[in-house]
Formats: sequence, C-alpha cells, structure tokens
Amino acid sequence: MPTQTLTDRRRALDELARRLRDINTKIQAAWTPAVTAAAKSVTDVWPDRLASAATKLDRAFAVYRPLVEVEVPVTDRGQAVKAVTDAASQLGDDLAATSTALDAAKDFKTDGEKRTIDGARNTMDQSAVAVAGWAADFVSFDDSVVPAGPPGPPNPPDPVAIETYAQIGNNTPYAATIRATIASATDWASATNRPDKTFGGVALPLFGSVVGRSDLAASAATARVTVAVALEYDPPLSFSFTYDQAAVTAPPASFQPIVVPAGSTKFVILQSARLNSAGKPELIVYFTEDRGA
Amino acid sequence: MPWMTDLFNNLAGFPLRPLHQITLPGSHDAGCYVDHTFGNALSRTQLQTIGQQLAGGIRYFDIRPYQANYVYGRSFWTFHGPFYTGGQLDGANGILADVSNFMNGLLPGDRELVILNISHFRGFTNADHVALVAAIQLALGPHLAAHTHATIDLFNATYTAVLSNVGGGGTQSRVIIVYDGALDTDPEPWITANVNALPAGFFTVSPKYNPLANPIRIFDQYANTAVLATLRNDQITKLNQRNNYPYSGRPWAALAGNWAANAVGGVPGTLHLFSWTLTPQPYTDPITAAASTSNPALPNVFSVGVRVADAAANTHPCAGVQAAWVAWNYDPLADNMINILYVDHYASHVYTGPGPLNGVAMPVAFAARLNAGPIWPMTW
Repeated sequence: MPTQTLTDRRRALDELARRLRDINTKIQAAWTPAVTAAAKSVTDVWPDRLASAATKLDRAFAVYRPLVEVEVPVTDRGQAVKAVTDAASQLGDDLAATSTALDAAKDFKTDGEKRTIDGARNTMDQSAVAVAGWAADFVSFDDSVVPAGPPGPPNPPDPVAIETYAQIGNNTPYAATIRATIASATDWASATNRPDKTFGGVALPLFGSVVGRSDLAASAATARVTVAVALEYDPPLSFSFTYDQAAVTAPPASFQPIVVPAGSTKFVILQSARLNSAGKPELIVYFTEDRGA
Repeated sequence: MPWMTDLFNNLAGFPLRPLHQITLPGSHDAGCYVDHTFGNALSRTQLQTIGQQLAGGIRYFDIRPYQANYVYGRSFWTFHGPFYTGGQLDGANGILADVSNFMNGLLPGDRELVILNISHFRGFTNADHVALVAAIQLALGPHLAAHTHATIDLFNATYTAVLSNVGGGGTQSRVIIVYDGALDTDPEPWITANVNALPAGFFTVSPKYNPLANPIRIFDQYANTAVLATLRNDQITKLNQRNNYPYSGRPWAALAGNWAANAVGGVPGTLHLFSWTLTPQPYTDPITAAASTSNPALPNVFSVGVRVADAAANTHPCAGVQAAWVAWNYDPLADNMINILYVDHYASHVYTGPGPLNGVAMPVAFAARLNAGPIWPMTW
C-alpha cells in the first residue's frame, strides 16, 4: 500500500525509529557484569563495535528521514537508502560475529558461565534477525513512498506477486549461519521479500528455524535459491544446497529429500510445504545430519 | 514416586531379593522426548524428560548416545535413527543433570535404584568413551553404585547389597550404569579393552564382553512389528521359549549359542526385558502407536483373563477382550520372570484403582505390583 500522505509516512517512520531503538536497547542490555566476567575477551571488543555499527545505522536513518518526511518526498534518495541498508547489513554481520565470539568464549567455562554467555548470545542472534527484518521493512516503506505532483509517464508494472514464505530449519545440535543467494531476480516480485535479503547471513541456533517472506513472481516457473550453511563443527564444516521456492505450490505429502548437499555427504536436506497460520503457502526446508541406519 | 522404597520398607523379603527377581518399569529410547518439527516420525518415543520419567516412576532407561563434534568441545546427545536427535546427555540441563537432580531430591531414607543402559554408541572413538564415562562420573559420582563389576555379582546380589557402600555397610539410593547393554550391535573396542577396568557403578553385559567375573545378561529382543497381536505373540513366545533364541544375530555371537531358558522367579545373572513396543509403519510415530494400541492393551496382558483368580477363586475377564487374550494373562507366580516392562510413551495411560499406585502411569504401576504378585486382584 503506497504511503501517500505525510501523516502516513511520519507514522511509519516513527515506528521504524522505535523498533531501531528497541533493538539497540536490547543489545546494550545484554552486556551485564556477569557476561563481562564470563567472556571478557568478547566484551573488551564487541560492545564498542556494535555500538559503532548501531550509531552508523541511526545516523543513516536520520539522514534519510527528512527526504520523505515532507509534503513532496525527494525522488532521488537511492544513495540514502543504500546507506541505511548497508549500515543495517553491517550491524547484522557484527551481531553474527559477536555471537560466534561469545560461543568461542565458552571453552573451559563453568556451566553457569556458559549459561550466562548463551543468554547474551541468544540476544545477539535475535537482534540479528530483528535487524534483518527491520531493514526489509525499511526498504518496503521506501518502495511505498510515491512522489506527489503531476503524473509522469507510467512506471512499468510490478510483476504480479504470489505471497509465499520459506522456513529454513536446522535439525542438528550445531549452531549454524546461513546465507542465501537467488538464481534470478526475475523470479521474484519483490526486491526485499526474497531469500537473499531475508536469509542473508542469519544465525540459526541448534534446532532453530527462521521464516522469511518470499514473494514469487507469478510468471516464475522456478525460483531457485542456493543456501550456504556454515556449521559449528569440528572440523569446521560448510555445505550448500539449492531449493526451489516455486515448489511451494505443489507441496509434497511429507518431508522428502531434495538434493545432495555440495560439500558434505554427512547432511541431507528435506523439504515439505504447508499453509501457514495466515493461510499462505510456506515451503519448509530442513537440513539434518544423516547418521546412517 | 518412590515405589521401590515402599517395597523396600513394606514388602517382606524385598531387601534381600536379587535384581533378577525384581521387576522394573523401563523406558524405550528414553532420551527421545524432544519435539522437533522434523524427525519425530518413527523416532520420538517419549513425551517426558528423563527427570519427569524418574518422577513418574520409571527406573530402567534405554539411553543411546552419539557425540556431536562441536568446534568448542564434545557434546553428547541421544539419538534414534538417522535423523532424530533427542535430549542432550551432558550439560547443565542435560539428562545426566536430570538424573542427578532426581537423586539429590530423594530423602535419606529412600532406597531407589535407577539403571541407565547406555548403548548403541554412534561413531564413538576411544576418546569419546573416556569423555562420556568422565561426564557420567562427574554428574552422578556420589549416586553411582559403590561396587565395580569385579566386586559385586550385580544381578545376583541382594537389592540391599547393590545399594550398599563399599564393604557392605549402609545403603542409599543408587544409579547403575550398564555401559553397553545392547546385544544387537558390535562390541565397542574401548569397552573390550577396559572391560575389567570400568569404574565403580559401571557394568557391562555378556557374552558381548567377557569380564573376568560376574557375567550379567539382559535379554532384549523386540518384536519388530506394528501389529498388536503379533507383538503379543512374539513377546510371550520369547518369555516362554527364550532358549530358542540366539544371544545375537551379529557375527561376534556366532559361537555364543542360545539364551538359557527363563524360569518362574527369574534366572541368576539375567534380566528379561519384555519389549512392549510397536515398530510403526512409515509416517506414523511410536507415540501414537503406544497411546492408541500397545499401552491400552497392557491390562489385557497383565490383569484380565481366566488364569489368575481372586481370593474367592473367581476370575475377572473384561468384556470385549479377544478370546485369545482372555485365555492368558501374566501371573508372576506361575510364569517366567519379567524383569523389565519396557514401553514407549510410558505415561499415556494411568492405573486407576485401589491402593497407593492409583494415578500412577500404568507400566509403572504394573511393574511395581508384579513384585508383590499378580496384577489381579488389585490389592496393592
């Protein structure tokens, strides 16, 4: 829905700003004295880096906001949008790196200290997901801003979208990071609600899953997505697999293997589909360790 | 639910019974209680954590570990089948911590015995065994049985002796680790090499391993069927004609021969596990099979029929029970010994009736009662 009025835009911008504050507050609150005591090597470095990344994002958003918080939005705001999305991406990467560093700090710690560290780590992981979601919503908002004034030449029509979702699950006792790439932008009806954005460097806890909106172009016969998985494994292990979001319209009866992952014979990928609670098609893709019969 | 303590204090002769004359409720794939989006089918067997199962009265646990290769150290988890991962064994919230918490919560006067049969080690190296044994000792140290395999004949010693301290003085609730009690897998090289050097509280089974003294055996052969009537026939046949079955179908057991026949009151050195579990067909799961089919049939095996009569010599077959089932019900005073009543989803049905076991999970109530006599009459 285009955000046509200044009041609409201001309300949406206020909401984005509030969410950003909440994320930053949560991150800062994670650095308790107990965490500092348990993981000093991490707290000596990463809180400052995260604060720096968060500040950059705040500033980029502050630069962007006046461009649309006016009666006639500025049309040439691509650079400002990119500054915001780049800053959000950097913050997300730093959160993921902090999570990894916290996990590394658990070695030789007591069970109580490990629990404390895991608490902070969960906050980092959740915040990374929140930042990714925030960035996606920010881009959606910007897309919705329609310049006022006399009508110009008509824009080319957007591809007709089929609102679907993808759930990627980690059915292993290993923490993982996933990063998705798409085969073709023309398979998708949105530049933001698509896997390379929603799954662009997401930390997946053990046995965790993440859901991302994936707006298919109605014309797409296939919509292939390649997911690179990095597992906390000894030795470090990564593999990739490819799924087809278009398969969501022809769901298998149950979880079925879809591909042999590249880079590993130890893991298998299984796929199913369902209608989610909102009645939208959702593709469910899980990677799991194959221990053999 | 300290039902063993109740028997210890109130059932004449119970403290002096050997384990081969005692019946325990057992939990199949006890660690497989975790609810996953993917993998439950065919693999998830329980709904409760080990701590909850202990509180509910289960005393024999089938624990199958594998070692997750974390970058930052080992971690042991339970598993069932190629894809399902159950509860974590180690760690602050793991299964071993659950057992420790339960034992810590018992009263000084309680006399409970918990058996963890740890088997089906997946991908274990020697170092993994060393680490797991150390993790068990760290978590359960003060609660482990005080005796080594060499110093006590575990299944023939009295219940009191099993719970006793070194030297035989004093008793307390204890945990026994059967370290590889499965005969359907190959011997673990580390256990073979250390069979006479396992720490106190750790025991292992023959003929898979050959300790210098005190061999113990656990008969555990499941029916491998999804059909209730087949399950019943299989397990009753194995109960009555155990000597027709080889110890194992594995190559290492080729010369081991068959099991010794079972007997009323049990056989020295051997526990007989009555495997009351269904092996579901694809796309169903053990939980459903247990709740809908196998567990509801337990009363038809143990408490109805025409063989066991009440004090007035009357029998009490239930209406609607198949004739074949009415014709036979288990009588511990006349039938071969069941030492472990072993089920999936153990708490799907509860016993309701007179006595202190009212409201207790049915397999627990039945196993406890079998130590005193037939399920019917229900005079607990």
